[in-house]
Amino acid sequence: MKTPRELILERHQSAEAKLKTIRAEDLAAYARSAAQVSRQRPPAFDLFTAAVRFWQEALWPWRRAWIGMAAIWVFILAFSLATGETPRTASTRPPRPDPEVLAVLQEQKQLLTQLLDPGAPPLASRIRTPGPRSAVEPAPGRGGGACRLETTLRAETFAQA
Amino acid sequence: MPVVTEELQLPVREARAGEPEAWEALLARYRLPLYAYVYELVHQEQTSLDIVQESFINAARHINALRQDEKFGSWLFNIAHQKCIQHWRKQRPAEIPIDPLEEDFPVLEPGPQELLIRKEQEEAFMKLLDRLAVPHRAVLLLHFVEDFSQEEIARITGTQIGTVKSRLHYARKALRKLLEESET
Repeated sequence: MKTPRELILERHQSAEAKLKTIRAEDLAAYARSAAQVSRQRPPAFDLFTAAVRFWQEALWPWRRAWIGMAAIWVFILAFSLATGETPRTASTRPPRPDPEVLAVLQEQKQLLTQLLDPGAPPLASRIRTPGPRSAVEPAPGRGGGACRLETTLRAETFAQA
Repeated sequence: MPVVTEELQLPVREARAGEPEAWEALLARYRLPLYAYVYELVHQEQTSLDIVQESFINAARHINALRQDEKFGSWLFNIAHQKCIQHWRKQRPAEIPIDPLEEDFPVLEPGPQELLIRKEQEEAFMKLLDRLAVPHRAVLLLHFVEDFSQEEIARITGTQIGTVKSRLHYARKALRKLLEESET
């Protein structure tokens, strides 16, 4: 009577000689090289370790200086609270510009435009303010004469009638 | 034939340090059971030898990742199992063996030593083993050859523990039926 394990292993006993070609020395060398690589590799970032390191390297050696600074800040805070003063914050909104300054700036802008483009008319002349409609003369060649002739003919026809 | 030895006695720590004697001990302990397991799954001698060798090399390269030394055996079998799956994928990508029975059988199974096979039943036992579906065969082999716990078998094969129970139940039932038939 045999157990299943005995039976299964007996069936493959003949492969033992071939399996012995796997050398323990090679495996040991693989393990050693893997261990060396893992030792050389920098450890992964750990928040706790980083905090401990920061405490040991940055805070603890200068503990007296840190305590002194903290005491000064506590004193300043206490003094500020005791006097009831609140720090004045500078207004972040810029002051409104003076209209005269704006006018000068506009003038300078026009001059600059003229300097850059001498052929262009001055900025002020290009912007025309419309006058009264009666003052506007019709442009020649755009039907102004024909209109006047038509008006005269109408007046003569009315007089004859 | 030696019984399954305690994993606690294995020189895993020394193997991690790269001692050849430790690796010799691990090879002596696992090479034949691992080969038997792989061969019974893939049924190709050279492929089985290659998979065993590659599994040991992978184990040596990644032994630093092993957290529990006493789990070396199941960890090594898991590497070999993954390599068997890779082999199947290369051979026949569409025919990766799957489990035909996924029911949960919460039945307490007796240990592998309780099942004894008579001389005249040996051939029938091995034939039955070959006839079983690969997932059932894998579970039964891990149970018989290394006496792994159901949790360890689940970890090796990458399945749920309920699935392992189901497969073990099915495989043992088929095996008992065959042995009873051969007795009568």
